[in-house]
Amino acid sequence: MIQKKNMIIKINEYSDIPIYMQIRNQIVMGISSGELEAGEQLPTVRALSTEIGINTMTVSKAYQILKTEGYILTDRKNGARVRMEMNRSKSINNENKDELKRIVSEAKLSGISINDFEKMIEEMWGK
Amino acid sequence: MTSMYFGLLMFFCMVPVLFFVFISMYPRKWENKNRIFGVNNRPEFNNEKSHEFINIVTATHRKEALIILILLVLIAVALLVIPDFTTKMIGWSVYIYVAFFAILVPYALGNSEMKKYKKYLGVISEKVMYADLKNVGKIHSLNVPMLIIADILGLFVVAFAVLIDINILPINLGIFQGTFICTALVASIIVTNIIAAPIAFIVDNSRNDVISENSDINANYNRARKKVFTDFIVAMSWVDDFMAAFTILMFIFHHSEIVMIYILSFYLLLLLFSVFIFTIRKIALDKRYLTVESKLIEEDDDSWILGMFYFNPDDKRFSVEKRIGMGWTINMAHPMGKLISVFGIITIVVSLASLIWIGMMASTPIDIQEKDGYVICHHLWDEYKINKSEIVSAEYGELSNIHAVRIAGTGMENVAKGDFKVDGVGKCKFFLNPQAGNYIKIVTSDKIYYISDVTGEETAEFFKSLSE
Repeated sequence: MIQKKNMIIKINEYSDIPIYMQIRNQIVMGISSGELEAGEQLPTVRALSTEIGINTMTVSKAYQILKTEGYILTDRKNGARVRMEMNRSKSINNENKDELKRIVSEAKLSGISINDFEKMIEEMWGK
Repeated sequence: MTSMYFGLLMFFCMVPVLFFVFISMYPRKWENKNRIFGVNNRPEFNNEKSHEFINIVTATHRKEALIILILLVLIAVALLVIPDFTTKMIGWSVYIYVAFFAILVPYALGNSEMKKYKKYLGVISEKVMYADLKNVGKIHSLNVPMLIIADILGLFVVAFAVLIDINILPINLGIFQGTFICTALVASIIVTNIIAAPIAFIVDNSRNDVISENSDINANYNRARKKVFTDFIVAMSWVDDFMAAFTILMFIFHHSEIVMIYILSFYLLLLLFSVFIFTIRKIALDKRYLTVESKLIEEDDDSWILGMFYFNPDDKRFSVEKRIGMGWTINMAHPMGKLISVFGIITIVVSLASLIWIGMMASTPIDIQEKDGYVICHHLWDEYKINKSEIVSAEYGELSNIHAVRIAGTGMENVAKGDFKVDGVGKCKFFLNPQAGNYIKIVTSDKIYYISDVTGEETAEFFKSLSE
């Protein structure tokens, strides 16, 4: 029996990050880690909103962002799917650069060695 | 005889249910349970200090619940010895409300203490929700064809009863012919199918619980969880069909009122048995899948008022799985949930008011008098006026000599009021104190009345004055 991959998303209602961004971020992480495969069907907006107990507009917004960013494709007939081929710009945007800068700064202040930090990144990259 | 039978039936239904509620809500060991008085069992509760505290809380409330249970059983025994049927019926109706309220009080207290303790431990409610993206909208267990066929068959049975009652089918129901009592009873059984069908679909499409990081385990658990409930509804729908068909057969072959009591008693026992089977399956399922270690804790304890009522304005779902008992419950913060909650409160208030009303009906005797050329029958707010000039004939008789079936109105041990069908006479108006033992039959140009005064002597005296 082929075991399917797991993809659990966790929504924290009290988080500072809006729910649609939490969904967007976790789907991006799922695609990156391979938990969501290329061409895989995503749940419908209605089904996912029922599952999490949130407004359909919130899920719709998350899917819209993922579509704009080129991670998924949506159409009325097939719903949402992970893109077969991602747009590989080979760069990260300024917003993420700032975020990375913040994480590196906090890591430096915590006293972690650059080797350990690199190891951590390699592990995450590999995953 | 009916009173004793009714009392025994209520006793053997209520007492096991209360025992079951006690066992399921107040377990001796809490360590391996997912929830303690409706509060999630968390890793923070596993240290020695917490262990000791929770042991005290659970033992205290278990003891309180046990005392309440014993008292309720004693009250149930006391209700058995009430001779009068109406008083007994009112007593049992009040008992049902009181018993379920009382047995839940220690649970609510325990819930409040556990929430306070959680706060004391500094456990912050994060309000986390999990969704298994691989299973969303894909897990279904409802056997749709079996449910639809059962519902259609049920409607056929109702149609069959209607055809008999309106004399299209040449089947004789004896005294019940044309009273629509057969149709009413059959329809009241089948209507539960019509209510249960949408519930089965709602449950089948409800959200999947995330109990593990493994999607396969989540899928298997949710499939089994939904199957237990939807199987119960499908099975009950078929049981209802058979009960409805059996009811018609009983009406055809056994023209007596006691038949109805037997049918309802049998149905009630069957229902209890089904609930028992359902519960066994649910416990087995939970035991297999739900362990404290495997469960991803969804932090929504605060949304459960007293650990029983779900109120979460941030949750857009209308129904959620219950924390105690079986099945699903409504989100009282949902617009539809609010409406149903109000309706539920109104139902409870109305049923309590009805009990008071029935009590007044039973304790107030009917009186009859002659005034201004009319025979006036008076009982509470009701009054029948029979114009004496329209009376064609009047006769006096013993009630034991007639056999009547109620069509509409009140038919209690000491009050018979409304439209009745008398064997060999047809549709009549009743205004009787059955305990008087006799009646005056008044035939007017368009109606037949059966009336009586408070006692047999007073009725005889009234008949004498009426004859003069």
